[in-house]
Amino acid sequence: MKLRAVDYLAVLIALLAIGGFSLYAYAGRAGAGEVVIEASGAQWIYPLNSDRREKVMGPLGGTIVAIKDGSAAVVDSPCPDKLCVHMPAISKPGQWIACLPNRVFVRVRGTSGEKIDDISY
Amino acid sequence: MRKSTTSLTRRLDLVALLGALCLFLSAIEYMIPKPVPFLRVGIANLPVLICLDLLPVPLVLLVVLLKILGQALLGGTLLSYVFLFSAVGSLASAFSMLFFRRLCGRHISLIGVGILGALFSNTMQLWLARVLIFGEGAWLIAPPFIALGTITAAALGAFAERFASRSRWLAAAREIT
Amino acid sequence: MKHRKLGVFLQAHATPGALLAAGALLFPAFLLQQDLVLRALQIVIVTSLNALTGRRVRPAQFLVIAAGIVLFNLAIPTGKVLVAVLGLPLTEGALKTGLSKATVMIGLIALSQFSLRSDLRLPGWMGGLIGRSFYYFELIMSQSRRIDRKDIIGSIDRILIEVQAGGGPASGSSRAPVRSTLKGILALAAVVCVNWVPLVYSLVHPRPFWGV
Repeated sequence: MKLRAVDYLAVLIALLAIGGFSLYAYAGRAGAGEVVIEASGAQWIYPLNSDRREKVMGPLGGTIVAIKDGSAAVVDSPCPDKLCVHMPAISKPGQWIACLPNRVFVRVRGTSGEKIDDISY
Repeated sequence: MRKSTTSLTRRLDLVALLGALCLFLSAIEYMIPKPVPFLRVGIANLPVLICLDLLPVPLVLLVVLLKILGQALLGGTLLSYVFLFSAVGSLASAFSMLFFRRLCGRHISLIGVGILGALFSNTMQLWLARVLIFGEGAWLIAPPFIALGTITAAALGAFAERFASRSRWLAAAREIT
Repeated sequence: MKHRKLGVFLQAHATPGALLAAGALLFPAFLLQQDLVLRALQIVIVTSLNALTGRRVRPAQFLVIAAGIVLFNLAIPTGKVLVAVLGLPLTEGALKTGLSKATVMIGLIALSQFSLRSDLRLPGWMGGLIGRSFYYFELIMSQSRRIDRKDIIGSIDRILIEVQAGGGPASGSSRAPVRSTLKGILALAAVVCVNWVPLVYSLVHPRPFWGV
């Protein structure tokens, strides 16, 4: 079976495509990180790259967590001093925000479990 | 050379026959037991590969259309997403195969054409799956899906090349067109 | 294909086009349905109709497809964690989205099977071309025993030559009537109405059983 010039090129393009998809799926987008919210003994997980607002209930009421543009922040909470609302948005694995009075804990982690996460300086 | 009506009729007849061959090969592929249900070898694409050189572009597209519609009617999937996947995949593959075949001429064989056609077809179908049914999880199988598609396309292209060189039927058909 | 009573009835009293129109009318009833339980009910209704008209119904195939779609959606955790299996958290949001998409997919497949009859022809020359193609297809199938595995190319070649030579004018074997009868149209109308009931219910009672 004689292979011609562009056949080899086609194979190369295919290999590049496979490589590109692998990077995208396993290291890029899908590896963008997750937001884990813990409250009232339950756990919620959301991808970091999906914009949304979620309300979780604690003993004092509903805490609202917003995910936008790759970072998560607490936008409202029924606690007295709203320390959690003033904490800066988190976006890197290992970072966290907590509303202690309402017992809500928000953190970012790498996808599928606690891997060794990048620590940024 | 002016195309007479009889010549067009004979060409359309050829189109119908090639479409029927697509359906026949679909039926065969359906009956082959597969370890994984989603594994598609795509032997129904063989007639399309064969007629890339044989027929003018509109008639090649007509063969593809017959393949898509025929599969949908026989399989009863015309109104479902399956039809959409089939249509998008087959058309993407047909357009890209025609393009590269005409562009590269002798420098590409049906193997390369098949590989590129599969690449375009599978990528489009992945995107469609991401939008319609799988969500972001679709990208997780993208690499093995594309890899498998490339291998089967190369094998199919090799088979098509052999068929094209040895088929007496095809030689006779070339006389008609 | 066994022709059960409903199948025989529809064959005699409804054109393939009428059947397709009925299917098209049911199309939105699936897509607009927001409630998963109701949509599952609609699937059961259509699948039962398929069985009644004698078509092969393969629930195993539906389950495999549904499982695949749900699994893909579960792969990206979204929402409240219900249970963790082998380290992967299964979330409520992902499960709902997965089930929703799976039910739409299966529903449309079942609907498609109901509304398509193999003698459906598109109007005009395209329909004629498809008809001719199907005719050749049947010819090829009738010759398919002659495929020799050791010489696949040769046998396909031989079949093609034979079929092309033997291709007379397509006989267009349609047992379907040229026009639908009133009984057929009423039957199809009943089918359409029955399938719209779950959708109407969900619109009137805005508290679905388990909605997306």
